[in-house]
Amino acid sequence: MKLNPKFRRNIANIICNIYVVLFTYAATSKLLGFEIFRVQLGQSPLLSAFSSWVVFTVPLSEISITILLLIPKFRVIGLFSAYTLMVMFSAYIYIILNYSTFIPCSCGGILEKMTWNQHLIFNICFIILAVIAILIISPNNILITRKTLKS
Amino acid sequence: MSYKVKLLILITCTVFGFGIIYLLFNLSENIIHYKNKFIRRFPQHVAQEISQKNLTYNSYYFAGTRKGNIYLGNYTAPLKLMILDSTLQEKVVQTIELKEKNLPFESPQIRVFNNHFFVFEGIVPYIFKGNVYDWKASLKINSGYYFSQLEPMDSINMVIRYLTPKSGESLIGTLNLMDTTKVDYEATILQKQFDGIFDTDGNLHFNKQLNKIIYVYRYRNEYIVTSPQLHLDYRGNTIDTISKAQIRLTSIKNTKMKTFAEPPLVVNKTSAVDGNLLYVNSNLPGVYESENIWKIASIIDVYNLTDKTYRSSFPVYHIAGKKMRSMLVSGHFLYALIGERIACYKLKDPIHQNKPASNYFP
Repeated sequence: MKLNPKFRRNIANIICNIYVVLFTYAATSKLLGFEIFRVQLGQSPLLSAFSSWVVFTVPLSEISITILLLIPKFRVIGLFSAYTLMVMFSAYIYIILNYSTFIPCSCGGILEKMTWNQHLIFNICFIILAVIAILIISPNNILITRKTLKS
Repeated sequence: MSYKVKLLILITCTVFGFGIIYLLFNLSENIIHYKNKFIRRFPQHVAQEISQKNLTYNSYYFAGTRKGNIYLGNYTAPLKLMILDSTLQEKVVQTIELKEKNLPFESPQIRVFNNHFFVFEGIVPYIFKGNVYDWKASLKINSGYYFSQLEPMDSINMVIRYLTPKSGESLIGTLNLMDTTKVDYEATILQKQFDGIFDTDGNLHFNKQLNKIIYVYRYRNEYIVTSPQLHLDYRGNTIDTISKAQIRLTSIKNTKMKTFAEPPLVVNKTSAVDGNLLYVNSNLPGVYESENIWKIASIIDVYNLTDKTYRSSFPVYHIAGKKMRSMLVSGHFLYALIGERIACYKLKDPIHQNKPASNYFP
């Protein structure tokens, strides 16, 4: 790709920031409405057997990914983790839509207003964003520092 | 990092993400799905689909049968009644006229019984009554206890599932439209297991031919048969083994809301009665049943109400992935509302056979 390195970095930064906003928002709304989130997860046809630990894992991983994305050194790892988490969310929605015996309601905040299909499209957009960021992020920061140290 | 490496990691992440969720789903399914220790029998050709009709909307419900015709009400067009002939070929839409129009209507329901019909709503409450010759209804009841289900027993007597004030528990009672002081109820018919709201939920029916009230619990393997005067005949059991409702409730802090802590175990989803038979759409697979049949069909178990026995089972197939929502049996026909469609199944004679299925149990 023949993109200006500065432009590339900006795009990657913007995508990272969008992710930071999304995950911070998602995690806070889950934690603020923790009671409701716990109850809703319990009703999920996919996770009800594991809801007791999923209820902590989801917001915790969202927060950890946010932190990774905010530290330049770990930005790439953060992007890969964000991508994986988004894939997991999408897989969850896909399975619910196609294989579940009933479709429950969950998700907090504005995301609650979306239908499951809209939600799936929303997630896929974020997956695409993550892929773009991962592919265009220039030779990562760790390598740059190493090079400078050598010279 | 080259593109190759990046793409490789991306693919690994994708597989990992999907894999974890798929694994969780499968594990959860296995843990949640109840394995039963009972055996159904599926005789061949007990029920066969003979026709189907597209109703365009999925908001229809069964309002009753009369002279072989099927009456369908519509939740979103409450005063329109669709009348179909027994084989779903002809359709007439009838508009009901209410003489009193100044009530807080929310979602009225209709029942057609012999030459009368009733329009009612239990949370107001009100009951209108009219006859099927002019389709004009006048207000009969506009006070009293709230109720959640109503079935006419004749032109003036109704069997009703009341909600007790404050606690909201369900209670079976009767009501006489001519003499509203004659509210009768029997608190011992529905047996509370822990909260009296969810655990006693079920389906109320009146069986014309046997002149009996029948109530099928949703969350336990029991049905109740009583006389129109609410004298208990007997409590029968459906073939599964869930005698205690498996519901865990949780309340959300700082609110008065109560909700399910986990998906409740539904035993009997919906039911229908006709003649001496009770038809129950069960939710629980028995042993020696292929999982596939449960993915493509709703399973109907048939019980004989006169000798309390299980007879046989048959499938009602999903249409375009949609499950049967409710059913109605009239004579030799079973009607099922599935998505936007109605299907008609012809019930063959073996279903009325006299040999109880208990001989087949191990």
